[in-house]
Amino acid sequence: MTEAIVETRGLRKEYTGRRGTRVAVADLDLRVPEGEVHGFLGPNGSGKTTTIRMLLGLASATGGEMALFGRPVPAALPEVIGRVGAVVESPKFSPNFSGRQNLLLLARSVGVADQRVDQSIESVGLQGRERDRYKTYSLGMKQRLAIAATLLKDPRLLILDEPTNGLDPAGIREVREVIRGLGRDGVTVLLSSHILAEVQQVCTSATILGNGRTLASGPVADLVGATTTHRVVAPDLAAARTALTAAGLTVLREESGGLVVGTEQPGEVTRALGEAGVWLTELTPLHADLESVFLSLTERDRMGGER
Amino acid sequence: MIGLLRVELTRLRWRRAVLALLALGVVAPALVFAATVVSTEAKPFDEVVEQYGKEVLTQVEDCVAHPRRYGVDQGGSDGVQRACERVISGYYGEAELDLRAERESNSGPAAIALLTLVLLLVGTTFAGHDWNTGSISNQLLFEPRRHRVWLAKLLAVGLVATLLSTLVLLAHWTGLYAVSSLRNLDQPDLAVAAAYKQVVLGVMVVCAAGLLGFGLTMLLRSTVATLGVLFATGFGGVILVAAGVASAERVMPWGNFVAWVVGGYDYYVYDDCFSADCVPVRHIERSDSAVYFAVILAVVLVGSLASFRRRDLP
Repeated sequence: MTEAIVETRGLRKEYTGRRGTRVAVADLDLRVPEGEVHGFLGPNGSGKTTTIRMLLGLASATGGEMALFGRPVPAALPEVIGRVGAVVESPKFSPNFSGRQNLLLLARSVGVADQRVDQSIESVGLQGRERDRYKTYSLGMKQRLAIAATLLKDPRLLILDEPTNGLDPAGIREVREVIRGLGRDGVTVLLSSHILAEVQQVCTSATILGNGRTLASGPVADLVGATTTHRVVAPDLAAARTALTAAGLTVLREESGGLVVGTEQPGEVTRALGEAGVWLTELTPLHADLESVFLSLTERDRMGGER
Repeated sequence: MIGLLRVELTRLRWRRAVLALLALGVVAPALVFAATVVSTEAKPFDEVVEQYGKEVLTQVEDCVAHPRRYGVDQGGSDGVQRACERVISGYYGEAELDLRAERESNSGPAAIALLTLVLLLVGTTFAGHDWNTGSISNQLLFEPRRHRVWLAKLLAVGLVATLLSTLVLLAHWTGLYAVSSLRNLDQPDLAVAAAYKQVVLGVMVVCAAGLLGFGLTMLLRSTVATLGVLFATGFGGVILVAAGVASAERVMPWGNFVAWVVGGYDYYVYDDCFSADCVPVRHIERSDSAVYFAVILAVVLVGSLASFRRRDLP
């Protein structure tokens, strides 16, 4: 079995406030093997960023274990941080310093040569603007600078939290190519993203979170294959939706005059509609994609949470 | 650690707000110096007598007879007569440059007070910027040993505070001594040594102020919150004393500051004075103020470091 570069076991994070205790991450098990580009998916508030922040020592865990490169963190973080590049949430730099000055300060804090700063700037296409103040940068340029910062250390693990936020299509493609290229070079990438098509294109494996728990994890191909969706068309879609939901089936969305239902068993659909007196006009299996899987799992989790 | 310290010194040097404050830390004491030099261009005592008449001599005689009424220390090394001549000349707007007076109540404490305020703001602004921009998280992604990051920043503030205050206060006193020599003024014995002792005391309190501003901001994670606490302490103290809680002056910053810089501070508490012979004066010794500042600084710095090491970052 390939060595896990990122591993958590029973990871838990609770926030205690005046309104009681809120669980942000609940006993999360995560395993990212070496050399993989691993997608980290989940709706807002599912615990992705909190998990990343705990892995990087920015937040403390309430319980459980974490390891990077097989070394327990946060205790061994000083040992391994030199091999980790990370962008957490939005880029955070000093607005009155230039992009280059911001990178120089980070580089010098770990003894990286100034020359490396210029190489990193060039690799994300910021040359020509590197001496402008950070606050004059567009959101896309800020993201690129954050990625340039991760490249300063020649990382073996990249943790990227929504790295394409604010980028234009060309920028998104560039970042995607950078990530793919790093993956090819053997760099392990943990990519948290809302853009599911991007994750499906770039990642070899993924973990889907909901309410701080792992809903599914594994190679993207397996995740996509594990869940099937069906397109259901009936004369009265509202009645069909009610009947399907009452039968415990997940209606993922309505599109092109039909309902997309997350189920592997078409018989469940026909039985639910038949019992409700709603007659089908079309039932078509759909080619699954990560978005359907994600929506199906998170919707089920949400409904489970509501029950 | 040296590398981190260099980085923090560079960060400090690149911060325009910090540079502006440091410039203020030079300009404001320089203005105090200039004002002192100009305002002490006094005439010789004979000329004062010539200009204002014999009334001046009468007042000097009265002063020599009752020196305490005129705020003249009988044990002064330059003699009561000379001290009284200076005081009375001062009444006519003709005060000579007196290094002892400058040290005890005029430009010396004023320059230190200005530097103290400026460095308090430098420490606060320097730390607050990291929190306001969130860049502190970025820094910890490169150096996760939080105590080292905290210490490097603290040392950077301490070094800058020490360097600036040493240069400014040394320049202030050396300048005053040079002016005094050029004007052929007699100065009390050991006046110069005492002035340089005040430089050391000043550097210590200015450095402590910088560290306090830094520590408090790292604890509260906000420049505004730190300034709020500092203003609340300052103005709250004034209101408390004005409201009649005179004994509160013992724990207020200004009295302790004066006690540290000039060697003592008197304040008045009438609460316990019911008899005619009661003396309502209370005194803060320099050693008292040293304990006061050391305790505050230790509590803030220990709390600041503990908080920075343990709490989640935004």
